[in-house]
Amino acid sequence: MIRRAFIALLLGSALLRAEDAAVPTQRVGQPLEIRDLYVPGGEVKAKPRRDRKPPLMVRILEVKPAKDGSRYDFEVQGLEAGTYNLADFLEAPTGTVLPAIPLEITTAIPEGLVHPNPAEASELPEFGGYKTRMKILIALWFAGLIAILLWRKKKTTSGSSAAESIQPLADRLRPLIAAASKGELASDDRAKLERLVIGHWREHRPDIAALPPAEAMSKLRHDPEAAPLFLALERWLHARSSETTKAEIDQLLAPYGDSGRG
Amino acid sequence: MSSVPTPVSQTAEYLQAIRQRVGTIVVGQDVVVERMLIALLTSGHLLLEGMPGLAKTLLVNTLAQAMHLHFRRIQFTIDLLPSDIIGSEILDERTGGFRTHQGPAFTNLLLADEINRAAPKVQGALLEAMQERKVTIGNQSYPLPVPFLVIATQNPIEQSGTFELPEAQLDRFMLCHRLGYPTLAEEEEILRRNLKLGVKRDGTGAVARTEFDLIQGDAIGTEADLVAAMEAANHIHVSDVFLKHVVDVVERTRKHPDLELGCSPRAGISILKASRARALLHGRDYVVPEDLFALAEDVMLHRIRLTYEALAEGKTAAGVLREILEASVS
Repeated sequence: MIRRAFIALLLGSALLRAEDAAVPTQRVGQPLEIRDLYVPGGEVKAKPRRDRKPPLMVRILEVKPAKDGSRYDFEVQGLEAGTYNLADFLEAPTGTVLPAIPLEITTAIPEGLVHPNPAEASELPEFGGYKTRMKILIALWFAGLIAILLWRKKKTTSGSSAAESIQPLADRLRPLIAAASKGELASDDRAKLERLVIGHWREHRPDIAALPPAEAMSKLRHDPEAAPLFLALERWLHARSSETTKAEIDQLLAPYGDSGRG
Repeated sequence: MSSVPTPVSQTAEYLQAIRQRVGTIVVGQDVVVERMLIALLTSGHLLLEGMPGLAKTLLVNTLAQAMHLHFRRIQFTIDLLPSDIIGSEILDERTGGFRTHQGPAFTNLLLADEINRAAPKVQGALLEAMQERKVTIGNQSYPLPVPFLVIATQNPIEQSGTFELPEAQLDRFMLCHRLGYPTLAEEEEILRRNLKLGVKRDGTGAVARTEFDLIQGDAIGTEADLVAAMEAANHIHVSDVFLKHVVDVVERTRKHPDLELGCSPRAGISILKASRARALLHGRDYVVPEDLFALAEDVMLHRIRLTYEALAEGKTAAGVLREILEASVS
């Protein structure tokens, strides 16, 4: 009797162990190897993973031919804890019915733990790289160049318009001649008057204007038309004791005043 | 010229005679002679820029002889020492003491040929003597003879192995004249005169005569005439109007956008002095704008410096100065 009870106990524990061994178990992320698993029918393949959703990753390590089927070595990696049927993750040829191959993936994480946020693709810190930066710099450089060119053009235009706004020589001469005839010319105005008279002759005699200033002055002092007026003006403005009378000054400056009106 | 006072016309005649005497030896170069006389009358110094072979030495030598002035020439080279110019103390073996040997700077007319070939310390020694009109040998200062005029030359083209005079030292030259080649007629006359030189017998031998052998004859006038001419130049009238013209032109050099360095007040003073001397040489007792315009290039051009932008645009200092002068009378 005791003997029968012992045998029954041994059989029971052996059955329990066999039942335990039939459901392979592994932790999340750890490889679970299932060797020499007989699957009847045609050769099966692991279903390709199209996305991150399947909770198992399955690899077939080896396929060994067997009667009416094949024996397979599988490597399974669980990504989420739970009980799964490996057959759901395999593809079989048409007509082959896969048997249930249960397995269990366990986890050490306690239940109720908040699931981490889903990993989302974040935006890049900056748009583009070296090439984009270079393109922006080149664009800025050209913009700056155009701005400088426009500014210079504007400056030149304003400079020339300022030059154009200068009164004609005759108009500048007239008030000085009028002041001279009244005897109201200061040294500054006398200097201006003389410079304008020289300018007048340069303006009216292109042959003299084309010469270098020093030669032009020398030519003016020896020119039959200009010299008498010019030398008289010099004596009036520069001589130590100028005895030029008001009438002489009027006579001396008359040609310049008339030319402005003409 | 009836209004010109007698002393001025007399002095002008004396100076004209000197120019004519120089003209008998040197063909052309009348403007250079005028500039030399201006420098002499105003105690300034003259820098001549020109190619070799333009009779610079002959010109100075002739002028010295015509005015009865002592003349010396120094060829500046890289190995020249300051003591070669101003002199040094040398050991007298007879007495066992030192005696002073006065260098070639002790003269009235000193021709410093190719001044830019000497080292800066030699240039500095000469330029110091030019300014202070005295030199120090050992512990003793010696005044230089009066009048003392330095006529320095430099070749404007050949720059290799030279030491360019800095602006501060250039400023000490009252005038810087650029010598040009003679005109065709002058060149022909030079050749004609050279054909007539012949040979000079010396004992039993002979040597070909040069233009230097033509420098003969008594000096024109005396030292007193030169002093009188210097005093007369100092009494030439300068009107307020002329002063305004000078100030205007000098100011324009400082404001011109193409110029980095404009004229210093020393340039204005030099123009005034030179204009007075030029007026005297032309028999006037007052200066006129023509003096300013005629002397502007020689007085101002070596004192101004173009900006890098103007140089890059191919502008020249002479062109910018011409612009300034033309703008002042328009």
